[in-house]
Amino acid sequence: MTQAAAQSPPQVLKQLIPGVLVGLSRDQQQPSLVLTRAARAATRARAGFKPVPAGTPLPTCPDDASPAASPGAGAILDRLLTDPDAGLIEEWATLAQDRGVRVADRSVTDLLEWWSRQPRRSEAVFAATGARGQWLASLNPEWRKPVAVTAVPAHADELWQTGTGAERAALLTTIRRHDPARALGLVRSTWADDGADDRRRFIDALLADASMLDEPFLESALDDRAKSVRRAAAAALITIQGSRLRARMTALARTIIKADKKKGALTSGVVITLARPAEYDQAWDRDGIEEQPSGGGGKRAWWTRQVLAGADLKVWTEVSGLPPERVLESLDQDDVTDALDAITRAAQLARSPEWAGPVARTVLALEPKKVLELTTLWPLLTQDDQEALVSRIIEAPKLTFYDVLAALAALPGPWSPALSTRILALFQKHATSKKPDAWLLAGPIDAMVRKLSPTAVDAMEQTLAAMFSAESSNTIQKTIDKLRLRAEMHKEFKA
Amino acid sequence: MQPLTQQQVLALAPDAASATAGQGLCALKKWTSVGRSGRAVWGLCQGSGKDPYQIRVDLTGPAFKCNCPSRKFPCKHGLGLMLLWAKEPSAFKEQDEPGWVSEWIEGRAEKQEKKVEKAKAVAEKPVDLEAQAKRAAQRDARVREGVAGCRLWLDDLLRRGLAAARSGSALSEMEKTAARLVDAQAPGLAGYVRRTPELLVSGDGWEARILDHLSRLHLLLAAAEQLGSLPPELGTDVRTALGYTQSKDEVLAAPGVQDRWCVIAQLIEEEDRLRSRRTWLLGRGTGRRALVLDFAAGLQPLDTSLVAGVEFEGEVGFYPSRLPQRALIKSRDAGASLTQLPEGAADGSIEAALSGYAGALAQQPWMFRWPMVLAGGGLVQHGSRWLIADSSGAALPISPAFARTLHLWRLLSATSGRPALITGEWDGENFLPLSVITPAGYEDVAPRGAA
Repeated sequence: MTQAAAQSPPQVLKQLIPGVLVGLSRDQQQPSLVLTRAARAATRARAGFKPVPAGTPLPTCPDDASPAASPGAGAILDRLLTDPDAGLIEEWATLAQDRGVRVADRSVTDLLEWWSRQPRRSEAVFAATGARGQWLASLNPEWRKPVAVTAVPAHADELWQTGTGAERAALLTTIRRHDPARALGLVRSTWADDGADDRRRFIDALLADASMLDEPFLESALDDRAKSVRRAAAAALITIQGSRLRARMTALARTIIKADKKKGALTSGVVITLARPAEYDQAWDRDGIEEQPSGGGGKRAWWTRQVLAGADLKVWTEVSGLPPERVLESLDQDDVTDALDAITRAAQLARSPEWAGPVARTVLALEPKKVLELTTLWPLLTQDDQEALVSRIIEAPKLTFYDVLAALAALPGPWSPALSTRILALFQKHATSKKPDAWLLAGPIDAMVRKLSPTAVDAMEQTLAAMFSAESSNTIQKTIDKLRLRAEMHKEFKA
Repeated sequence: MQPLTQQQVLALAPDAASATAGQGLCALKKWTSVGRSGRAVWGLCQGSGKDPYQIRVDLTGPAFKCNCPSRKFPCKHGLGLMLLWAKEPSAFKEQDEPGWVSEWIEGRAEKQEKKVEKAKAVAEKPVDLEAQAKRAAQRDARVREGVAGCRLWLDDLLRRGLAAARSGSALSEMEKTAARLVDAQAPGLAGYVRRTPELLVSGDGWEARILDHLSRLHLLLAAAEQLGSLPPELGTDVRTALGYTQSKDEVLAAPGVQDRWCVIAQLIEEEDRLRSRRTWLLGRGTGRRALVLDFAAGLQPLDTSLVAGVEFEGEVGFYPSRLPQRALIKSRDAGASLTQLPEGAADGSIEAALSGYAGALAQQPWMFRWPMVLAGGGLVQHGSRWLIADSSGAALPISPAFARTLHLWRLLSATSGRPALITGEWDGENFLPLSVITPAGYEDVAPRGAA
């Protein structure tokens, strides 16, 4: 057939379309004739479909040197993906990484898809997808790794000028890791023109690892026109050991903390009291001291706590001549609450292990209801102190089982085997006592089980199963299932 | 009999919640006892009731039976048992079936035999020919009225113009026309009318799509108008397209095709709470392809006996047609996991597959989907479009709806970017991939659920 002999089917269809759109009655055409032509053309088009040229093939998936995880471990991952639990999936990936194995081929796409939808894309999870994951991610734009976390882009200076506030803050965080001075330089370069929201955002980006290098700049930001910026600068300066702001707080603290010889004391006792300021000094506002209490309580106590929290801890030993442990013992009955509050915060800001241990022990002894506030000190404690703290939480006479669990649940994990055993023992003790309230306990128990050492998981599962009957609570049953899955997962990776 | 894989079992789950709950039961401690015989697995699972639930699975299906109160089918216990068997086969010791298992299995076998016997009996029964002919004549007359009515509707639609038909009132009028065609016992025609509104408003390129659709309807009407003068087999196909149901009993009673049948692809579509499942079979010996259709309305479960990625020895009966494709399974054994297909079972090349399609189209111009089995198939990307290519450098466009899903990436990953055996359906414009079969095994990439 020569090319001119007949119109191609698509051409025929194209010609017919205008007529059928406006209606055939206009040209008095027979519908069945038009439809026959259309049917012929369409069928011819279908029957004569010509394949298209394939073009360049895709790159092939490179072989992976590391072996796939065992079928058992793979099945557990598949199960986690049908009912996703971020914590367990990340733990799976970490275990795989430790064992030098990767995700089985068939699960790579599902895991990548899950990973790409997470607000925080875990490195370990991406790594677990192995060479196949990298290959697929190179072909699917939605699965590319966010670039901000690794290298500084080449056009950083330009991006700083033109990017959105969020982009610039992300860029700042990245550059900070490589070159803190350059990051600060960028902030300064546009400071005069940036809006208040952006200025606050940039200071927040500096906060995480602010140092004396940033101090002069931050100090000047205390005079910013926007209050939000001034507060952000003060919050950053208070974390910098050696900042002028901290020096001012320390000087103020010296006027507040008083150490007096105990009258008629048998031991060489000292009593530490607080002389709370009578008036609010407007100059304090610049340093971020709020005048109005955010919670309840008196204004004078409120100012005092803020000042003491920002002061160097050494001021306490200086004024009293006592080591940390003794300082805490010598606090006057009336001032102990405010002082402990402030010292807890100061120890956390200064990341001081020297104070963290004594503070934790004192809080537990005097105000066990405040155990939840101790969790911020947890990473500063030695393992011995951590275990002692857990023991004290468990044994604290004024706490209910629920309070104990809530306190334990708030402690960051993962927990050592010894600690996990200790917590397990607590549950075993309670398993035999009166029926626990599944509704109330489900939350803290669920938060705890993810942090338990794998060595205690099996026993914990049995204990919980014994404590709570099958009908008691759906949430508890889910927790138990999760524990069982975790135990299985660790077993699979050990095998 | 080897256990189904975890994926295959999960594919049987009626919904995601059942799949999750079933996985929760995939632990030995949840079971009081488990066991298996040559034809069944069973287990006792302690639920919230006093007595443990009795779960049994007939492997020549698989078919499930559990005495729990769940209305899901298969229930989580059945899924859990099969998952556990996949995970810990050694825990399932071969032993004598307890009474509650063997009774059920034998009851099932009896029922199946009865069904075939009944089908034979029905087929052979001396019928009241006069009454039957009268009923048939009545239906034919109604369908003829339906055909005539549909022709009027179609002519009218074109005379007034398709642009005018896109108004809301015109679209809702079509639903009434469709309902009248159902009353006229021509549900096939009703289906054409019912699909018209969505095509009229289907976005870019709707003009060509609707014209194509209506011209197919015209072909069917034209064939129906001269039904009496068509050759018998073509007549049967036209009647099927109009919506006459073909007798299952006749198919079961007639001799079928004995072969080792491979379940090479399966997909489930959902429309108006009706789930329809297409299962493609390929005979190893004969090279024949067969399509098994299953339907389930609402919460009704789909039949669980055809699992994608298995093969079985059995007899398949085809519905009579010029292009015999739709089929029923007459008998089968428990089967095993699908192994690599022989090279000869595939279409060879895209060119060959297309010419097979063109030949089929000549037999049945209103055919919608044609199965393709492409050996050495691979994915190629053209800008935003995805293609499937063969080793000769020819390619077919992949359905854009498919390419937007995660299934595309499952498919790509299963091939590793190397040539693989890929099955799918060709609709004349787009290729819808359904499965990949590599030496590593069978990988399902077909959509399940919403169409």
